[in-house]
Amino acid sequence: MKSQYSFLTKAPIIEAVLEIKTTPIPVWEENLITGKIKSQFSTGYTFESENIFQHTMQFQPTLFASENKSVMEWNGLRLTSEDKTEIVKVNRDSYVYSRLQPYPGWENFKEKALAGWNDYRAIAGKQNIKRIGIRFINKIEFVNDELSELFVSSPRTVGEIDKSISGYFQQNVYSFNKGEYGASHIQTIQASDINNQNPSFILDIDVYTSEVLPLEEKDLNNNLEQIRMFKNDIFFGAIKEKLLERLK
Amino acid sequence: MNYTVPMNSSLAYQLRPGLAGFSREAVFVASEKQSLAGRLMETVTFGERDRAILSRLFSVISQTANEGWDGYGALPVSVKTYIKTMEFLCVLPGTVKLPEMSADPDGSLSMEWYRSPEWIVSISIDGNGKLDYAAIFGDRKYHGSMYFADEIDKEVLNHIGRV
Repeated sequence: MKSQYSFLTKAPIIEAVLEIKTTPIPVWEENLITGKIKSQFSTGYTFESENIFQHTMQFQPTLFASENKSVMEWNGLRLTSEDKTEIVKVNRDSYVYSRLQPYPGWENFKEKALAGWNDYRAIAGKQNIKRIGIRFINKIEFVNDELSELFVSSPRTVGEIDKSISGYFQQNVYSFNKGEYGASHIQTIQASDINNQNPSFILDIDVYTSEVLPLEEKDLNNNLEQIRMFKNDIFFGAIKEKLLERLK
Repeated sequence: MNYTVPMNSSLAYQLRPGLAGFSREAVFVASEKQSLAGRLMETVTFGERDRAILSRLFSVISQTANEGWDGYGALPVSVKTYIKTMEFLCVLPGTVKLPEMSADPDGSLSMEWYRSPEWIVSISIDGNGKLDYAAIFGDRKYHGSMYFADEIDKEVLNHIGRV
């Protein structure tokens, strides 16, 4: 496996995500946690509460007298940066950091994601980490008949009667290091819209590990570097030289 | 090429939601997955087990959604508990039989795999994913507690597999 890959000045990343799942925070009360989050993640974010609905049925002793009611339960907070390029989700058992376009590079992404994680940990206490994952969504515009020149695995028609492809979805699920790490590699096509003349090829890679013990910061960093290497192995393995040159 | 297809690799399981994402493209991928999963669920071959899971869960939920459903002040089974239990059942290997289900007075859901009074595994899950299990295999008894997140602990899976 390569440890160095070509640097891409035009990396087609439209979203990069770090997600860390933990054992649940013992006390999860809206006012208390919201206050802590607002003081911990102090500047540059807008805060939005997220709720889940529970629909319940009230059964009465009489045959027809029943009543439905909806109960809203607080699920956590969603934080959005002023320029709307960064989203943080804080839930009882997970921390998510998402960076939208423009992608600032791995080191910057990792630094900000881990800074937020440290803020989360200050609120959560020393919860055990259950799962660490990163997700990188890449979007590459293409013109007709070009896909097989850009990607190692691309959609193709079968049979002899003339036809065109109007939809495509492929998912490979990989296992690394005897199951210690897993990955999902999705390829799909997104139709053109008003802003894009051409359709786009979506290359969506997420890599994760559930084999996680309580970690020190150094271990988390090493783990992320390992996960990143698997992610790069899939990305650079999925594209052909022609696309690589285009992205450099 | 190496294939290491896990036991729980049902198609619906493989198409479960992945890591979070907020871009338009992340929503697009999720909706494509959901559409494929929905098409599989409609079929007898791939959908029967998932439909059976939903049916068993719904049967319990519909009777336990209100406080005091047991006549003694039991807590209702919450949506979070329902979701956690469904996640657990969906990652259960397709070769394992589905459990009998019931609700507990504390609002958690219980699953039981039963062969005889001396050969039984019982698991309960609450809305936070806290999983308690107890297993009896003749004169051997096991029990434990952990948090469930996406994957079933190997030891728990081994116990279930023995019933």
